[in-house]
Amino acid sequence: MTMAENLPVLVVGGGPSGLKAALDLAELDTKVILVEKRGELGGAPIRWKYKLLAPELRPSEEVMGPLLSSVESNPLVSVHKDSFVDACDGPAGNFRVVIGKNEGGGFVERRVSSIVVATGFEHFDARVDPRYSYGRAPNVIGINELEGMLKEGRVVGHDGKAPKRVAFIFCVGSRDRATNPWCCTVCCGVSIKQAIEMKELIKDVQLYMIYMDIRTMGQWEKLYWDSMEKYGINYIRGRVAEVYWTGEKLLVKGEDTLVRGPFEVLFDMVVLAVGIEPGPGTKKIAGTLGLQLNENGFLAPRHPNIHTESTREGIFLAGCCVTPMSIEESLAEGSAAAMAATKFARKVAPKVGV
Amino acid sequence: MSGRWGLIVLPRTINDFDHSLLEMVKAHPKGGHVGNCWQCGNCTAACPVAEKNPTFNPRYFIYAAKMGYEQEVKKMKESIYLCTSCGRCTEVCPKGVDPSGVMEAIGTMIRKARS
Repeated sequence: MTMAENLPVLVVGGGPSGLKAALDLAELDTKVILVEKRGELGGAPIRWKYKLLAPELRPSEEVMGPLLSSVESNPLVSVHKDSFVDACDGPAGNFRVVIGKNEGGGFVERRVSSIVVATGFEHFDARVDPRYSYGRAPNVIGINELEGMLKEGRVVGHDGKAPKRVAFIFCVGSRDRATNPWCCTVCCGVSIKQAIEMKELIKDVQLYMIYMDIRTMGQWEKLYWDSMEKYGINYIRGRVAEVYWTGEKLLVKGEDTLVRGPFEVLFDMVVLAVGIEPGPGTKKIAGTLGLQLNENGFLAPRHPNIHTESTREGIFLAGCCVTPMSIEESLAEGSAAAMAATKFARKVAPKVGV
Repeated sequence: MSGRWGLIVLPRTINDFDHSLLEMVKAHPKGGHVGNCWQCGNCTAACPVAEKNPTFNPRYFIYAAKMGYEQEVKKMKESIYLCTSCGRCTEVCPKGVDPSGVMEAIGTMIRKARS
């Protein structure tokens, strides 16, 4: 059988949305070629060792475990790790793709009916914004790094001591003309979730969330309420001008806009809520597949309100490569892209006749 | 002062947070829900005393007491007792803080500290 319906679907990116798309396609008896640039599947939740997921604080394994094991054990999914898509040509419904292996590991050629792009995101590199001293002062970490510490159950400074007073700085590399003007949508919720976990781990820790707006969307709002009402976490509305290492502690300078006064307070640890931005993989795949990027560098869907459809026929989008989103939304988009790819293969099957 | 329209703010820097007053207010029978406050300002917007007297600002009192801003707490001594306990703030509070009760608790704690 050589009809488009029997050709495999190429899924680019092995994070939550890519895995979900691959699994759904395989469960519909479609062959899948899954290309992942890193040496392991799972995307951000595995790379950054997510412990609990907002908003209900469920272990990330409950979501990622079955997804990973099902994809890896499914005979219809051919997984290419340490790989990238090198070239793509031919008509939609019968694309010819060249998959390269990292570090000169050779190339393979495949025919696919359609392509699902789920290249995800990178965290904002806080070194770009020097006022936070990230990468220069000790004990200034990102929320991505804190996840791994929480997972190990050991949150400590560079001296191995548990912090007594911690500041979370929101919107680092988000909602700022100088860096990224968009809102990353999940970092408020994630930071608050981490603060709750930290409070559970270190009972006497004092936590200060320095925010400009709290954007815990939808039912994530529960996290915000609980953090104040049950955990006594403090909120300071304002922005930080400078984080300065005194040699012992971190001096955080900023303004408390609710009392209209500057503050200069010492902290043991500063956690930066680093935002979401499109990574180099997204830019590269846009070039390879001839997809449009929007002004922020995310992949542009054909219609701004319909994420699944890319600007090219037979190529579908899912997850954070389109816009920042939560894991639950990424999974839903993965399923949606699998559905779109299936519909497309059935539609073009009689016409392509390969 | 933010929320105190027309008043001049003298230069000052906050060097520390002190939650001892907050803990005392929390222990007061009417101040137990002070931790719920998220500074929306519904209380001040609804307050008939604040309308007449810009130095009376329930939202601000709660915040300064929570964070232990000493200079601000000192300033409150003059105005916090102006609360008539009409209860409009409590009625409009979306988080169930009971601002009028919290102000009563703050007033009690300030009075205790003075004596």
